[in-house]
Amino acid sequence: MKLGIVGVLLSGIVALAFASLVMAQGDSEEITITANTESVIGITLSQANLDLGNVASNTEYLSEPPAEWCTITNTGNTSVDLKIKGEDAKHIDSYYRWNLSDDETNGEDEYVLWYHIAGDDVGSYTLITEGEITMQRIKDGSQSALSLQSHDDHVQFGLKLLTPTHFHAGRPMEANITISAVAN
Amino acid sequence: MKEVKISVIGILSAVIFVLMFYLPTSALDSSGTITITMTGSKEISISLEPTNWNLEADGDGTVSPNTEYTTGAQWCTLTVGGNCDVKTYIAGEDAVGTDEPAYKWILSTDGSNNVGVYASWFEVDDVEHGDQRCTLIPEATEESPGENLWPYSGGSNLSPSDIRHFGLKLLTPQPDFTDGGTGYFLNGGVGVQTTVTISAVAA
Repeated sequence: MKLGIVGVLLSGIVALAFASLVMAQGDSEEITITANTESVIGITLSQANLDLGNVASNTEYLSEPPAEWCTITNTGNTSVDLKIKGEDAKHIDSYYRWNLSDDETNGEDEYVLWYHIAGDDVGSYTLITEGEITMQRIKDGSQSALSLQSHDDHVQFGLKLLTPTHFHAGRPMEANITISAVAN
Repeated sequence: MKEVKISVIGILSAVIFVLMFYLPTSALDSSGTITITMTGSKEISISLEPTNWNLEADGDGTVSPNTEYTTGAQWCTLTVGGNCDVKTYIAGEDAVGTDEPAYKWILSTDGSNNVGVYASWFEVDDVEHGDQRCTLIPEATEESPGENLWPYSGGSNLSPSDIRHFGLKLLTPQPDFTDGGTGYFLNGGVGVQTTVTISAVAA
């Protein structure tokens, strides 16, 4: 019984809606359509691997080229800041690892990573740590957050690595650097 | 009725149109990863302390013919650095006059001395490793870097941070001439110098 009443009421509402449309020939109504485009965050990296081969202890290695090695491109449609973080280098077959330094000094089984943004002050490098940090530009000695403003906006950077002062030889090591985009 | 149909289609189109604004777009990657790969190279390093043996056993800065001189087996400390196990070798060479390069003492190949021929040994007295010996030091050749320093049962490989002690012994040449029962070298007051080389290779 209740279902019947509800069905009748709905039919009535629908009928009234059609009727009002039909009867409103001499009138005018405006429909305002509002919409927000969806923000999409996306970046791509032009490089996925940096193979340094055999490395000596306590030695600095630069990506080649040092500043334009990798391109980060904004593939989304919104302005983003870039975050970066590193991690310990791990031996692929054991628990042996090189700890990632957090103070720019290397040590036994401890290595250091930096990045350099193309166009920044010559020789300016920013430390990469296990903790995620916002990537910075360094121009004329002052820092500012590195952002990619719009679709296809891009920036180039290079890496520098300082090997441990002492390590076990002959063990292939692997470490990941993660770069993330966040809306600003 | 036709107007109603048109209106219904219009409403449906509007609904579809509105829905289109809310259709999700394809997800993009908001992060990327770079993988660094590298392999630590083998690095070989040994150090010696001391690195000079000045024979002045006679008290006047000179040595006599046909006489043995020794540093004692604990005289020199060899410390292994680097980051890999190593084999160590020792080799000697002829002794040469410091001011007269033509003046030479030939290094003995069998441990016996002669006129113009001297011999040298390395000595080990290592209680901890049960190692006690006195071994002739040969000359290095293209085929051999010298005598293996630690070929005992514990293995001839030394590891980083290993420490070993050894000494040297030298037997001077036979005298060139004798006067009053005392032997002398033909050239008196000549400085003679030789080098003992200890080398390491990756094990």
